[in-house]
Amino acid sequence: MKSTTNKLAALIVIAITSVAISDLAQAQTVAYTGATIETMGEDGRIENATMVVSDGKIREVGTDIEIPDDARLVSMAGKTIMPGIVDPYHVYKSTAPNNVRTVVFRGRTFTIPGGGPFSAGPFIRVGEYFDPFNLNFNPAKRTGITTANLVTDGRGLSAFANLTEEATAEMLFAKNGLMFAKVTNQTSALDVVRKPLEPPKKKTSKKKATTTDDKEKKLSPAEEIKKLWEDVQKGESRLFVNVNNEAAVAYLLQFVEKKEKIKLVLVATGPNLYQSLDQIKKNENVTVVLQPGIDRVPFSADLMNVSQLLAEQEIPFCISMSLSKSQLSASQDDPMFPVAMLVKTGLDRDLALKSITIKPAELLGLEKTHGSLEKEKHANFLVFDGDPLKTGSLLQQVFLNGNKIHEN
Amino acid sequence: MKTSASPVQLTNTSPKRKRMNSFAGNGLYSGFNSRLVIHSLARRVCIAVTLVLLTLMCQPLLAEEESEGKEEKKDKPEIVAIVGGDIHTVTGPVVRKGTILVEDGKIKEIGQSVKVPEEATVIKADGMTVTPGFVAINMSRVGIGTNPSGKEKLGDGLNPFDRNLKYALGVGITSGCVELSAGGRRFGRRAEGAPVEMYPGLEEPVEEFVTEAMMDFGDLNTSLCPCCGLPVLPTEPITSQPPAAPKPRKMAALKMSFGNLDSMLMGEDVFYSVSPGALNGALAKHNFRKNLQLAREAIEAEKKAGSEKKTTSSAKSKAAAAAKGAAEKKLSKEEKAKQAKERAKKLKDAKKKPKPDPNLIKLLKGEIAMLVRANTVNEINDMVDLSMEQGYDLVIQGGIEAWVLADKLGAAGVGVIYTPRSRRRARKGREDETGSFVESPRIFQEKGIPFSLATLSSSISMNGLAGRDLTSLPLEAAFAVRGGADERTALKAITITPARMLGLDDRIGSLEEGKDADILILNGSPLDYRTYVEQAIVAGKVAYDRQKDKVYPLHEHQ
Amino acid sequence: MIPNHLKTILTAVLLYLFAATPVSAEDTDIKKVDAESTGVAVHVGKIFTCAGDPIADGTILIKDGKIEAVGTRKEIEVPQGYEVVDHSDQFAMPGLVEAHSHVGGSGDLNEMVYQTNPELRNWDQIIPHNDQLKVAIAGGVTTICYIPGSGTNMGGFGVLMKSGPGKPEDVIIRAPGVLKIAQAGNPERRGGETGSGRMGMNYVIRQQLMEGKYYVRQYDAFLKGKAKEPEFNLRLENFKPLFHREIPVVVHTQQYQVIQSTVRMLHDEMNLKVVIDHGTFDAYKIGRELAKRDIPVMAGPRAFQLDRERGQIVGIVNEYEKRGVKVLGVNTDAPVIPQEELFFQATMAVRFGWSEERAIRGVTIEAAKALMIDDRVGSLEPGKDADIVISTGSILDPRNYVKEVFIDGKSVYDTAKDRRRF
Repeated sequence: MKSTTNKLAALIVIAITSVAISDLAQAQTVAYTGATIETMGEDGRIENATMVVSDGKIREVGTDIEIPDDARLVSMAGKTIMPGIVDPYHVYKSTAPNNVRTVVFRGRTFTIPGGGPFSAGPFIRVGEYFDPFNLNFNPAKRTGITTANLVTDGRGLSAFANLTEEATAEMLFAKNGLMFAKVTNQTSALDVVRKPLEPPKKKTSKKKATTTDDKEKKLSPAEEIKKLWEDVQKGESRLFVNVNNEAAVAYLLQFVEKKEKIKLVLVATGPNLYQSLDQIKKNENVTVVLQPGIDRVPFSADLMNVSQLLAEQEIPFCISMSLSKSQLSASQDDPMFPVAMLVKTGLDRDLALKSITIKPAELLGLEKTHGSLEKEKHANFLVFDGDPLKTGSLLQQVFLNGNKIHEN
Repeated sequence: MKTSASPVQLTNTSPKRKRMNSFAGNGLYSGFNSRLVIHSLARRVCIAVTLVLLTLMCQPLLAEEESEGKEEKKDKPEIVAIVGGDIHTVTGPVVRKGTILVEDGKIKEIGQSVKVPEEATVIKADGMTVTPGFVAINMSRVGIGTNPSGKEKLGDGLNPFDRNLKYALGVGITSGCVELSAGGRRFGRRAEGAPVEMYPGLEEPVEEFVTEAMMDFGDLNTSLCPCCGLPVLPTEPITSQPPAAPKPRKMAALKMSFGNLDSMLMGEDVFYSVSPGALNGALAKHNFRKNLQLAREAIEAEKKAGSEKKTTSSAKSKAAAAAKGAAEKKLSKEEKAKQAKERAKKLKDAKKKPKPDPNLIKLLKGEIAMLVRANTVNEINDMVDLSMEQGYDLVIQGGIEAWVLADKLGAAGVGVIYTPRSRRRARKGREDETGSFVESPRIFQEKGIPFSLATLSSSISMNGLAGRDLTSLPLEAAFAVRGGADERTALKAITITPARMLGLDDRIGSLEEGKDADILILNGSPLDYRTYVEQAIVAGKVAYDRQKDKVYPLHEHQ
Repeated sequence: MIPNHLKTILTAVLLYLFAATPVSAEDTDIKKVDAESTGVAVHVGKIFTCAGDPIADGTILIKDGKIEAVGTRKEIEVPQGYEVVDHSDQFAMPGLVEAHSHVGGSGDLNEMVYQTNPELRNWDQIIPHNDQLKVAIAGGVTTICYIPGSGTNMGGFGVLMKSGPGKPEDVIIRAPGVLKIAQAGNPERRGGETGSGRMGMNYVIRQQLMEGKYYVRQYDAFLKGKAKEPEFNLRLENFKPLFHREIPVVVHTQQYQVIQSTVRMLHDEMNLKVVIDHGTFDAYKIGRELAKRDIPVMAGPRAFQLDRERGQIVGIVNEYEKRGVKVLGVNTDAPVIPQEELFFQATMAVRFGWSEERAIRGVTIEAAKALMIDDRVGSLEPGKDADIVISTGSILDPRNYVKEVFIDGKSVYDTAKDRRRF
């Protein structure tokens, strides 16, 4: 009982503070007029449209809408508005331990990079581990990312964040996100995922019975983690696995092949996915997250568009703009360039844009509030001075919940 | 209040989050599925959509549907027919212009008048030579991402996309024994003194080069005096050593099934392989004998237990277990404590008593052979004597001077893993009983010594020196022919003989019905230096295609 | 004052210089005494003469260590009193010529005090018919170019010698045989002075060659009576045959960039007879430039290059062939590859796309041409040294082996009598 009251109190406090913040900044209704709007929703692309925003939410989008009397008008003539980018896998901090170790061999000392036994590191709950101090989300914001699934390069439970102007603790809007882990083709690494997902033994079933008896009882951290894995096992929660080589992709697919319920999100690079496309296709519960861009076919000079290959194979996929950190910081003036390259080399334009907005929102379970410009959704949007996928189009403004968080 | 509603909901714990996720699931899939339908109306997709619909309607129906779908899949075995080539079965006669029928990765039929089913995928091999895939008895760094050590299991460290698999397949190697804890050598030989396993995690073995002085002394276990540089004789350690089991080198049998993880690992610990140093000298031998004795006792105990078990029925034991469980519940605290004490004591006793090495048990049971590197007459003699005394199968690796002891080896049935181009300088004036001899393969063949061939270096090297690494395996067989073995024996030495040494001759090494479909389609005679593999079929699937994979230069030799 | 030991060296050098041509004459004289006055007739199933089409069912006549005649058995009449060796089910070919070997002597081939060492010569430390050469003969190798190592930019002068038995003067074909220059790679291992980088290395090589060129020019002018005799300089003496284009420079050079500077400096600028002696990695890409200048390439010991762009193995020799390099062969860089496996280097080149006919020429006449000894070895033609390899089939096939080897008309290895060595 005590815990529930505490929780309630906390909720109320959070609610009040967030209201207070929003009241300050988002009081006025704004109507953005004359823009080309890529809604990413049912309406698709609307020319010469108006979008009404108030209290951080979109009130109306369309061509023939009534602009409230008290609304401030902002002309967006000649500009294109699209939803803020939802990043499905944003590694914001490294938690993996140092992988260099020293070995003494015949009296001589050797330092072996990466030679140490794989360590998955501690289970990180990003929601609790998150420390906004010293974090720099600026490259992400300049790229147009407004919402991100924050993970580390270890394993744990992610949190969803709004990339607010300043990094604060309040930027996390969902402290309990989804499970994530990083895996390579090593027993210790694979076991990070495999062990908790193996079918429960008899002993655990006993305990389960006791836990269901008194739901109110507070779970120990270990039990909570176990509960989280059980959710993954039952297919109630998605599991993000960052796979660092092509062999690990094969191992992971082999593992989930037998576990029909598990909904796996495979985070990998194009070349690592390339060899396993057929295997991925076989499993309908696998979604892919990859970085945008053109890759080299392994052992060849040929180039390939893996996103397009995934689309051809009808494999569900999302694009994470931040998977390649170098790309993230390099392409800030022209953030959509790698996506434009995908479209130029065959990927359907609509699918390309969706794979960075509404699809990742769906993947994170945020499609009701994020990922497209539709009525009553969060006013997270990007303003380009032309077609976002055209070279030379500038990302001019980035809005989060109706607030401008970046201007170029 | 309204604006903050959704974040608050989301930060809440499980019940609501669960809902969110399940919803997300539907949302995502409905989204993708609609796209799928738009793009194509493939049957598979239709099934997927119906499955989704069925899930919404009722569960039992779904189960039926699924089982039906599975049956449909089972009805269609993968059939491949290799038609028109001259088939070298290795263990049987050559079938001219024959057909091999492969079903679900196994050879179903071989012959000249095999009926090819309509649904079979036909691979034309007219004018080609068809042979079983070659078996490399000594490989390293092929198909493995990270070497297993400590907790890391080999089964989790494979890489089915390793480019080295293609290089191996391109010369015909479809399976082999991969050495997990030692690398190939380059210009020198790696000293055997320190087993690499002593330093787990040290992946790259530090290569040490044996000096001339050591070569002349002829003992790989020799070390050099740090001040005068003269070889130091191997002596017994002054203090006694506890009878510890020598740590065997790790070996595993791998199939080069590129892209197919499932069929890659054929077996682990396929040899009991120790470095010769571990069996060198009286004390080491004493310890080894002691360990063997332990293993033998364990086998006896197992036999006894086995015969006892037969008498007690499984139902009985189940009942006993249940009774035990019930009794346990009734036990008082004191009794429990007493039991726990007893158990702890038992455990302690068990710990005191050295455990037999499971690999030694396998060795004594004849499930695996001992593999030991021995090159000089003395080393080989020593190892053969020990194997005969203790009664286990022995395979000599290296065997440079084995030709001197050919009669003995032949009589003892000891196998040799031999590299025809390996060299050892004879001692002056004793050329007829020391050093390497180019005609060793002829002698082995004449004396009935089963020998398989190994390459100069066990790994695949891209340093540009050609014909010296693992990819020269068929060329090494050509050198065996140069050394007087006939072509048939030389071909066996890279197919069925190594398969037998690995205890895998029921699966690989020849083309016979029921065996794994590891088949090569060669554009010439198997041991011709101009011959290339056109296609390599591994576990019934085309794992390598010369024209498509473009690993080796493409050109035509007539 | 010249110290005593130097004097002896000086006289030795002078003796060699003046006796440069007589050496070979003397050579054959000795042979004449050794060999019986009767000739030898060898009947073979197939002869690769390397000077025209192969001859089926042929006969080779040997007289006084030289080849007297080669032809079909029908054409050639065996003179009375000739010893007849019957190998009518075997193949015959000229003895193999190794263009790059370090196993002809005591092997101490790197003096690394100075960066350029034109004063060094290695024919004082050869060991004829040593253990490695004995096995080499069993692999068909009868001639080697025994050269200093590549520890410095100019390792010294090497020697061309036979692999068979005899005194040094018996086995030496030509001394000085070649100059060894090493560009990039191995000499880069030094540090701390000019020449540890490629700029410095090209400077020290050029500087040394220019010094030698000037010395030779002055000497030539003196001979013509146009200048006074230059002060004797032992360091530069051996540059005379080099700049007279009587001996080639064999260059340890590999990689596209390095070979460019080899061609420019040594061929274009210095007008030397140049042999590319490794030419590996991506160096084949400059093949056309080499072909234009008729520069020979003795590729090896690396036989292939992984084209990382295509992910495919590329046969280096075949790439030179495609680009029109005519005088093309392989080397072993023995002991990097054992000397007896020279044929196998050609075997691998064929495996990677070269033609068999060119491969057999590549280890015989083409190598002899590159080393400028094709007047004596490299093919089976009347008047040439009787260095003949009898094998059980094409030497390129590892399944075949060498049955008998003649060097200067003498059987030096015969499996009918000797224990097989390879």
